[in-house]
Amino acid sequence: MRSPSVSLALVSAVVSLALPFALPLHGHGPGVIDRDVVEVDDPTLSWVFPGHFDTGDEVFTLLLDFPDEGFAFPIEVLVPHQVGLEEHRPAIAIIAAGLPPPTEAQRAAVPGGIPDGLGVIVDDNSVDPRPVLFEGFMRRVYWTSGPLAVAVDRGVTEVRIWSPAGTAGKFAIGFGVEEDFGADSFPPILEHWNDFAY
Amino acid sequence: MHRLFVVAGLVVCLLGAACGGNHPQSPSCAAFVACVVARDADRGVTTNVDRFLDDGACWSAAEEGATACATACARGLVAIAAIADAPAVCR
Repeated sequence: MRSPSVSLALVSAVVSLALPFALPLHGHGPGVIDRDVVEVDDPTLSWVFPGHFDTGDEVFTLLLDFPDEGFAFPIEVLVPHQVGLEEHRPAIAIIAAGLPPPTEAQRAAVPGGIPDGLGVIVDDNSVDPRPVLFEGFMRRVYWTSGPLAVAVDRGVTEVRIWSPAGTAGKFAIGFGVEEDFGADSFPPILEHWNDFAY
Repeated sequence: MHRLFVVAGLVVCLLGAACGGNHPQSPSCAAFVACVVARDADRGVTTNVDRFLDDGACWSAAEEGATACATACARGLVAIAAIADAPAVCR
């Protein structure tokens, strides 16, 4: 008869050994939106970038560079499922070559404008009823704008994020599918624990 | 010992690992891929759509990941269909 403490130690050892192999299967790589413009290191991988509207007037931009070929990927806006954030619905504009040409309404709506020659897809985060997502890695619940697949041409894609209603609060941008979640993914999560674990 | 591995497996499973499966490619993503490929041919460009292909990463993840891809493709197809010169397969 094995003692409970020995069994627990064995289970822990097995889990510890399995974890490095298990983690790559789940969870976006961690980034953080801590300034107005953030360049994404390798946008062909899956990422989540939490951020925060302090005033609701901010405009954030993620830059995704696809130098060799066009790239198709899903993207969505997440908001913590918390009291007080029910009306917090940040919008995103994906601005890139290969996307539909902007309408006049989109040109008026997207802060910072849309450079000539580029197309845009705007997700105003208005799906109703608002979809709810259980994020299994950090085990948190979010409202989501709903995943949206976009196919952009090679070159730089801008993802612009703003709060149309001027609401403040946390949000996160999640995009991509293929993951590269290794040991170096943990320090950013620990450093920004309140953002990832809200 | 056998019970130990069952427990360990469940714990790993609860952590979100190894419980994903191979899900079939969704019809929406098959349509999205066909649309992007056709549009690429019209425009003379290449777009990497690997994750949405029938052997793509969308379908080897957990079920919620596959569902998210399926939803994304359905919404993405609507967005491309709005382009005036989109190929017929996109509509």
